[in-house]
Amino acid sequence: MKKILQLKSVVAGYGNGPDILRGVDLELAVGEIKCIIGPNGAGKSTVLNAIAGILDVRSGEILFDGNDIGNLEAYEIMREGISFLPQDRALFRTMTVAENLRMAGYSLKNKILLKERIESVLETFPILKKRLTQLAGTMSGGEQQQLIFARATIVQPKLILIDEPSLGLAPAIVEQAFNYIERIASEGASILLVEQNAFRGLKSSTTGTVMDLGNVVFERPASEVMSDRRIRDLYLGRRDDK
Amino acid sequence: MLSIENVTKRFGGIIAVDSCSFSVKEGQIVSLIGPNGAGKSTLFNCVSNIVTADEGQIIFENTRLDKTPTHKIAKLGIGRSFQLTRVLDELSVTENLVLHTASGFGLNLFLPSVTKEDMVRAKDLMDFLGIYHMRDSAMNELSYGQKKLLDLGSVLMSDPKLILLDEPAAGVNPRLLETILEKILSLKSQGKTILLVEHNMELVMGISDHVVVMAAGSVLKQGTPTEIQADDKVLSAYLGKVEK
Repeated sequence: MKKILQLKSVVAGYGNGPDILRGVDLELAVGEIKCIIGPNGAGKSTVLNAIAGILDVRSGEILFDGNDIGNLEAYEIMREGISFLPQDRALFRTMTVAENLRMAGYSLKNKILLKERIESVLETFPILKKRLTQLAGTMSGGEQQQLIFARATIVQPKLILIDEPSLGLAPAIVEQAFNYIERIASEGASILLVEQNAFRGLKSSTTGTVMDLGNVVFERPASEVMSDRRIRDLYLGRRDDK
Repeated sequence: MLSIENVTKRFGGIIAVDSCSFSVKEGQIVSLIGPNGAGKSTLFNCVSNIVTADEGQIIFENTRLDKTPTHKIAKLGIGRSFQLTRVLDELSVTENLVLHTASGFGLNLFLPSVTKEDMVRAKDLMDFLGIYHMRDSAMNELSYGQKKLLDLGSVLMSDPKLILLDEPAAGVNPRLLETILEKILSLKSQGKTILLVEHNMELVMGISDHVVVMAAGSVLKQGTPTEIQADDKVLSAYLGKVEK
């Protein structure tokens, strides 16, 4: 299977602080949905931040489609074909839906192409069509989420990074989010996501990666992760400790 | 010593803490754990009455904490730390400590607000925490770990009987974790009672007498560390499924 993304011994951290990622190795195949789980402080979100260029890579390599993107700026990485959905719902609340969509496609210099792409995402997310002139921040949580996914897919990225899609959302909206994730993947994008709700995240994924203390502990097909004995030790501490 | 009885706290339509009950016995280390969003911090804030419980009662040695203003809670013999270290950058280590004296300050403009006893206590605490050599240092000379220890020191300045620690191990490297663990155990051996909120399972399972697991606002399970580690409901809650 062709690899879209490869992390090789990636070390990264924030500012002058300690290393949060301590030699992460991770691969993602084309069309794969991979869910990273692990206890608090494992470094899950930091992996996404490092790939998206929010964070400098201190050592190691991040290869996207074979090219090292480890030291590119965030906007350059986006142009390479990676969309990032951070935890804090990336949309412009005081701009209209139409403006939000145009902003998401600002890197598309061809205006005709941009128009086509907007029309195409509006077909996927029909509610947005009725909301084009409405301010994004005034829509319901579920509608905002449609806009977030519409924005992420407008540039037709090859890889989408998603940080905690279920965070702070009602159960029905969480289901909707994972339906979108599965649909986007079926259309050919690869997806790397981080999720606290391990059960839900793994249900929609092909593989599960378990992290702890800045390292990948193990990786298995998503359906087998939960039955691994190491999970209990990681989340609840080793039992032979005392 | 501390008893939390059917405490409920709502924020608008959201029930953050839903009828929680548990108690902390004198001389025990009790840990409050649970997945993110379980309501641990809210409950913790209810104990120090930073947020006031909507229902139920919190009793510390016959005093209703939910009816006691925050600043008076400290006088009852309860000290608490916060998740983010709270130090004043302009002051030295010693000054940061004596700021937290039980005698208080500003009572009389013409009397020194820091007593000799306060200074002795500050020195003892710096010795205890291993930061005495940093006593005159400004905050920008301290490492994150030293600040974390200083923060613990400020909680201890008023010599509280009950110590509330909010994530003492957050952002702490393994070596410092060892030190903090050791200091908490040593406080216990001095007869202190400790209630802490913590995500680091090594610390929780290593030092607790009793563990209370919260999930979705309620107490899911309580027991000894071994009982908690063996419980399937607790593991499921951490993995995203709350079975009530």
